[in-house]
Amino acid sequence: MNEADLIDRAVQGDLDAFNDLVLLYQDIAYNTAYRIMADSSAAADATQEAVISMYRKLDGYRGGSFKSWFLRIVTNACYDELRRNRRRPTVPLEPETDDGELIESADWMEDKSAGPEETLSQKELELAIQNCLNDLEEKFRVVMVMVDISGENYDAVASAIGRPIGTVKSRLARARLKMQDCLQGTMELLPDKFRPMGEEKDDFAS
Amino acid sequence: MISQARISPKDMEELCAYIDNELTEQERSSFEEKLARSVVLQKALIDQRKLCETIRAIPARKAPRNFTLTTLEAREARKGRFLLPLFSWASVLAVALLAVLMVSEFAFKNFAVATAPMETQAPILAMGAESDLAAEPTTNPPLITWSYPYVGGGAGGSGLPNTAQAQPIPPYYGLGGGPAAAGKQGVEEGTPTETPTVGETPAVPVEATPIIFGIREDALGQVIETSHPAEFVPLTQIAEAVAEPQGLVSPAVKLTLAGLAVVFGLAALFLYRKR
Repeated sequence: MNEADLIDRAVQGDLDAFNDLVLLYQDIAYNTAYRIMADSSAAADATQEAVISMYRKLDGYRGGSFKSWFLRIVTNACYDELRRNRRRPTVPLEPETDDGELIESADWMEDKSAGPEETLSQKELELAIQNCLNDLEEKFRVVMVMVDISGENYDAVASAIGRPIGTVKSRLARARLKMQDCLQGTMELLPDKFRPMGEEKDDFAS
Repeated sequence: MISQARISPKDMEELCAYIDNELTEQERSSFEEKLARSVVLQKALIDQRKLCETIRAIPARKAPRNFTLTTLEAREARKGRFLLPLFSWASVLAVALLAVLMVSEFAFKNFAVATAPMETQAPILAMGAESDLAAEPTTNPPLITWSYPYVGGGAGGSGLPNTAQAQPIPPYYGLGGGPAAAGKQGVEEGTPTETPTVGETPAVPVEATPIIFGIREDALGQVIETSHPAEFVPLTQIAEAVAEPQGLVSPAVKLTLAGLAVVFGLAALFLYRKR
């Protein structure tokens, strides 16, 4: 059964058809949520909320790309989850010193495993990118995740975030510049095919 | 990244859109011309392409579990789907209604103030009209006597109506037409005995009361009568009515609407947070 049939049946109230659609897109939905939330449990919560919300809003589906429509709901669920987290910020686990006193700084949580001397595996590359993504402002991160990770076009992103396409373009450009700056320190550790033009750039700049 | 510092934000946006195939044909060819001329853009293009490849190369996270809905979850999801929009719209409607009432009441008050001078003058005008009507002979009229009735002007007091024989000649008739002493004396009032002829002064008894500014001396300083309209409205009361016109809607209705708006709004907020 193709996607259009599933959608038709789901809109008519067929729960099995709806669940088939969920199975079809849950990985990309979760991945998008994870890249935005940077937390697996929060991403799972956002994805589940998005699925429930999608079920409620099925009557409002007016055609077009179902994936984009679903990702738009996922993005909104992520926004809601982020807002909830801001209202009820989680208290980070703080380690104790040898004397049993709490260490107030959260620097201990920083992942130092991706040091320049260490080999950058695929997992470490992912971690480095995720850390840089986390450093981005929420509005830049969402746009970048939707375009570069979820593979959405500018129109779909503009629709998802409720902003004009010009805003998407400017946010994406700024996000990529920031990402490039952030990854600058780890670029040398990237596989050759991912490395930027190191020396050439400096020569050019001078 | 030094090369990027030389790229304008506009060029950077075009560069990203170029990489993502989001430019129109015209924009694309225009940008490619610009790209061919600028080494900075060419380097930046290579960097940005590598960055995108790097980001897109990270493995996608698999969903840790299935997010499908059970029948019970689906029923629960469907159950509450109307409540949030229902309460939201009800709250918005209550607020809108309240706003409309307030605005119309404000406009009404302004209209009332604008027309107040006319309204306040109405009783005053009515007072004059009523007093004129009330001044008809059925009651004691307010009279201010500026001269004696039937007394002719100083210059023509000798004229006597032709009906003088048929009607009683009022007292003081013909005063000022000539010397009072010229008339016949001793004629009874109201009983003319002969037709006066031209040149004769009718015999009229004349009182010798002096007249000052057309008022008899004995009537000076007397208040003949004062008159009020049938329903006298004090000006202070009119002023109060203008200052505080009655509202269109009672405060209870407004309070009820405001209360409903708050209750519905809180319910919507609760449902929204509970989602």
